[in-house]
Amino acid sequence: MDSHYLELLDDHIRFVAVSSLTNVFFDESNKQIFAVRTGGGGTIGVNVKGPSKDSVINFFLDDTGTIRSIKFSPDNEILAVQRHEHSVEFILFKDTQQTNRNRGDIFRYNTKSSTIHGFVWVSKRECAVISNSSVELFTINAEKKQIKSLKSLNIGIKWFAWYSEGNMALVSTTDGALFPVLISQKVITKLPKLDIGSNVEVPERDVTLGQLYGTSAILILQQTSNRLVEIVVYLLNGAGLAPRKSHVIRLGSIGRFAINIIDNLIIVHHQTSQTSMLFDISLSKEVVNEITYHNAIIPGRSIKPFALKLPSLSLDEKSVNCELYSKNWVLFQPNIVIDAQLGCMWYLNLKLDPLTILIADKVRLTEFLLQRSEGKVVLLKVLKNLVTDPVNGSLLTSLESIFDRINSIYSSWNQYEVQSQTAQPINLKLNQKNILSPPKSKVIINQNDMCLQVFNNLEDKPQAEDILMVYLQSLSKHQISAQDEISKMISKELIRNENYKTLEMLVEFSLICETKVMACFLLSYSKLNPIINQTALDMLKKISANEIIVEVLLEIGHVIDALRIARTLPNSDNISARKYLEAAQKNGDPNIFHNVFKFFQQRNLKQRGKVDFLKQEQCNEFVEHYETLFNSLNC
Amino acid sequence: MENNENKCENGQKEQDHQIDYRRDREWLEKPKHIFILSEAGKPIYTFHGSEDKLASLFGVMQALVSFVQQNDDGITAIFAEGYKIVFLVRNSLILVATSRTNCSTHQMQTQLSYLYNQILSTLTYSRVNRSFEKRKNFDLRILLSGSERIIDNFLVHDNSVRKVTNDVFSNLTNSISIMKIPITDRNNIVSSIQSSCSKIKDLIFAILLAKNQLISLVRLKNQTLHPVDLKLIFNLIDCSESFKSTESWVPICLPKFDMNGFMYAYITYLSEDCEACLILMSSDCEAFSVLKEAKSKITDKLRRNNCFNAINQEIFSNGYNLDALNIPEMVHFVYKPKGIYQIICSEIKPPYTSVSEFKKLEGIYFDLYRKIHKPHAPLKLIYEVRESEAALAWVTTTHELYAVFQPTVEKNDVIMLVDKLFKAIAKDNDNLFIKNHPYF
Repeated sequence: MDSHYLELLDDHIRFVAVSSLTNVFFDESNKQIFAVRTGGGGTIGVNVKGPSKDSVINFFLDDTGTIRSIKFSPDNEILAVQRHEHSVEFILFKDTQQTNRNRGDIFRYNTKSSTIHGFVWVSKRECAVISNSSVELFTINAEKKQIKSLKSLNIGIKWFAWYSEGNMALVSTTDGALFPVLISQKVITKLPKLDIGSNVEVPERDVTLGQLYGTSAILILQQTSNRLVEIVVYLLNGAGLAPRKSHVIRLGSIGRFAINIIDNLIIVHHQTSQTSMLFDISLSKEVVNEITYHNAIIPGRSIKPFALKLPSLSLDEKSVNCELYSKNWVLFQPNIVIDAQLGCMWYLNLKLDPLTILIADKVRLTEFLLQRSEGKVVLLKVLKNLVTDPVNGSLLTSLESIFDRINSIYSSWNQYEVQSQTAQPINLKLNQKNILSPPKSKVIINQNDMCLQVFNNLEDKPQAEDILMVYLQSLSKHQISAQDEISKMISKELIRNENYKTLEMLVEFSLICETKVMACFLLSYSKLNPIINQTALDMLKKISANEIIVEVLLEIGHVIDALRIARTLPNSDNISARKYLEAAQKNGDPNIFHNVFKFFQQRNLKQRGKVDFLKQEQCNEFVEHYETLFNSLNC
Repeated sequence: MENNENKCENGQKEQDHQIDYRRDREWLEKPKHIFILSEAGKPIYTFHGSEDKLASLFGVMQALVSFVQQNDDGITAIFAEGYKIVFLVRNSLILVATSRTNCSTHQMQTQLSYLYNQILSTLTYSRVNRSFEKRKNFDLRILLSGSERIIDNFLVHDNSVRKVTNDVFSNLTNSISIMKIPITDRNNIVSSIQSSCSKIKDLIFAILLAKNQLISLVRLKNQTLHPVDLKLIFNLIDCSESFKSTESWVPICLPKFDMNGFMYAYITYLSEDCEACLILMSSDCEAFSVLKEAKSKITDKLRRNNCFNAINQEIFSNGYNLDALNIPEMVHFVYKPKGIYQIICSEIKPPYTSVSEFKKLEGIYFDLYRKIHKPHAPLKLIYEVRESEAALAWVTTTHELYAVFQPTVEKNDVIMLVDKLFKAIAKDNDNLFIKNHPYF
């Protein structure tokens, strides 16, 4: 199997490479690449590509100065361009097909003295401008071509970084402190500063912003005293969203690193060794002072080589291998790789299949896959291979741990669902702690998944019973009641191995599901051993399926027991005498026949004052049978 | 048993030829065995098979008893997987019972002591003693010959092997059955006997019985007849068809009355048209003709007082009828008032009319009796819902009741039905039981 777990997706975007005439800009928010070509005649040609291959916008702008930054609003209707230190222009772009802009469609924002570091689109009509003295939030009225200040935050800023999904900026103040600033619609919130610890100033390029398991995160590359590099992860989950130093990722080498965040995994590319390493903050690791220290899940490996097809007239397309980990690479979040020199933008993709072999510890692999958005299919495949492999010595113990991991998530989902479906009284004072949030895990593997996709080939294998019992035990440990499918599977295996005692226990302690269907399933095996029959009856009794119990007892000739139960049922006055007498006659024990016969005679006597049966009861043959059995003896 | 037999094989040379019981499956699987031997190990009696061929086995039994006796102790019982061996040592005799049934040790000992009394009743205590004093290895069979039949009969009744009869329950409860006779008729019978016998010297007891049920007992002033002795008489009558055809004059020892002396019993059936048996017991061995005369007087008086009808009616009836009392859900019962050794049983009706089904009924009663009279933990009430019946045992200060119900009966109904039965018995009490045996 291919052992490269990272690949550049084929679905890449080509653009005009950087040259003396062409400048390239990338807007992380919209994932658009702007190739800006300074042409003759006072116009600038702009070619916008992204986020997908097919979305292309071409237009011309007047050449009124070198473009420093260029970004569309989220709906592509307003283009913001910064050409000078003190101003940002906004150009209305209602029709993207229109290539030339009217002067009237342009309006400007100017600062008096401060130098603008950059701007970000916060929403369709809101834009924040970050300058060396403030963060200012504007609303833009396209119809009136007006810019109105909404909020501003005065703060001396050296540089800033923006993370659009989290609406979060990280600003570095003039004295070197780092502050996260949340800029959402109409609100600017400055959060407490990052506790960096050292006095070393953090350069912009060492900062990565992103989201890990739903929480905004700030990742900072730092050199330790012995020059090895580590990543400090601050999560905005402290009191009042204060950033908290939560994780430290030990890279264990020196050199240049770049970071992608894919599927909540931190992927660290190391240029020197041309490898990428994988880190998952959710995996348990050593914890010191509430900070978790992580090592790479597996040793670093390189990205899968990528062959770029060259446009060619001949049929045999030529392709050229791209240089991986090139100096020209720029990485953006979450998974974007841009080679500006080559003029190519890729999306980096994580492949789980190779990892199932690379991560040897299956319990760890399970934990890992449970957190991946595409983990379910892969995990099911891993489990299936595991349970059908008969030679794994430590199978059961590791399976137990694996099942426990899976079921703990399954169980919290169950509880969450039950809670969300339970009506709460309106006036109930809600205790926040009692309200469950949906489990964070991406993968939920329920019993049906296990039965249909993991245990389905297990039948008749020698290890089947043990594995299924371990799974059942794990279910019950997590307060999950077993459903039909798994119950049937286990019963089948126990019956096949003639382990009836265990089956009896499972029913006694309600460990397998108790339904009529299940009981009938057991009954279908009752010919093999009377214990199965009794077990099924026990189950029926638990669910008070007395009518079925009566039928079962009649079937196996326990007529008296059947009659005893039938008497307790509603409508017991109308039970069919013929049915019971027939069963009693078939049973062959004269004592039983006598008792059943007498019972119905006495019933007749109570109901009608006579012991005789009614004609429609069709009991004549039984009256005769009784006579031959007893009255002839008496004579 | 097999272990013991292995021992004797080692110890003694096998006693040649013919059937070897130790290898006879049928013999080995009998539910019950009774052996009687002398203290010297001389065989006297075995219930199954011939004692001659079991000499080595008897030897082992003797060895077991004497081994324990050496330590000034006595062997009571040996418990083994699935069966039980019970010992009773009396007056130079060793009685041994083995059982595969659920009989209690106590029940089996009671049975053995009955057998012992049975032997005394033919030989008397002193005669047995004298025989063994003379010669340790005296063969008691010489004196007992002819009376094995009586022992057999007792054992057959004790555990109904062939017959469907309530007699087994009187043995179980150490009682005798009383024939249900209307009190006026019983008084007439008693007065007929009294008037005919009052003048006869040395007449001690006059007993009238039929179908193993007591009709009346008239006694000499201040003399009592112990139920054990009475049972010996019942057994004697029951096993001898010959009494029906002729009148007999039989010497008999009643061990509880006097274990060293004989009494003389004049035994005869009343007449062709009333099969009740009259026993007149005298201490005078010459009283035969006097008693014969008295018998004809009694017969005349009874016939005249219409007592024959009363007796016959009961002889031909099947017993206490539960359907007539409108207690159809109760299938059978045994009722014993406290203080007197008397019981009544209901008619045996289907499904217990066949031998195999009756054995089940008997098993139920044995089981109940054993449980409720457990020596160290007696119970007051047992109610069991069994597969094909519900069973009740109830002991109060005034009576004991053992009853079997239809399996479909409900617990509440049982209480009601029992209540109904008690009321019926209370109403009929004078006809059902004899409170005081009158004097001549």
